[in-house]
Amino acid sequence: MSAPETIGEYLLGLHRSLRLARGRRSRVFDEVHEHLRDAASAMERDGASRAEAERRAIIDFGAPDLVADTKGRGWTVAGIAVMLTLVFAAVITAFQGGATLSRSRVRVSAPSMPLDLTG
Amino acid sequence: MRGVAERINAQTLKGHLEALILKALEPGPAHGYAIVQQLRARSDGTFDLPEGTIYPALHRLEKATLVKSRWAEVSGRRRRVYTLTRKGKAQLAAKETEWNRLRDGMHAVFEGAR
Repeated sequence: MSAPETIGEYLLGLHRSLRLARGRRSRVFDEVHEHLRDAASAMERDGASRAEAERRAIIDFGAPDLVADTKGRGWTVAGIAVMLTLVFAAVITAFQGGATLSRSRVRVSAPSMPLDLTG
Repeated sequence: MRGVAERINAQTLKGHLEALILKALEPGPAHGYAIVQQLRARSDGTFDLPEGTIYPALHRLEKATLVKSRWAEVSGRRRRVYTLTRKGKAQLAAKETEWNRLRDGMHAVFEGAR
């Protein structure tokens, strides 16, 4: 994909990059839009054409991924991994607790077997 | 405006950007573009980083409750304006103290060796 030349193109790329909840995404998007408008307007006041002003404003702002990593990413890959690990650990702990109880019940309910006094 | 060699690059600045933003907000509320302009002007062009990097830093500061933000009308347009919180002011004071100690220590080492 070629580098964006206009604020509109840049914002389209940003919109694709942002991995945030809808409300957050809208806010970041609006902030960036206003920033680029300010920057381009300042350059126009300095004598640049609108097209050149927008192009330079985008260059000065930097790539969309600089901004896309913002505001707490919500369900990131790392976050999902941590969550799954915790759930897995909880399940294993619960399973081990249940299995111990089951073994105890088998010993008690099998009178023909020698008593296990080892505890 | 300083030349390329005289500008501090973004990587070097990265660890200090949040403290600089807190300082830029000390006089009063400002939106992201204004903060960038202020940093550039007050540093005489030394701090000239990609402007977009200001937003992740602002949002981290807000998450840490060092700044707060709200929508406000500025020059007829809706802008997100950031303000230092009380906690942010305390953090700024702590960072300034830390920086002054570092500066004095560095100066003592560099100058004292002569």
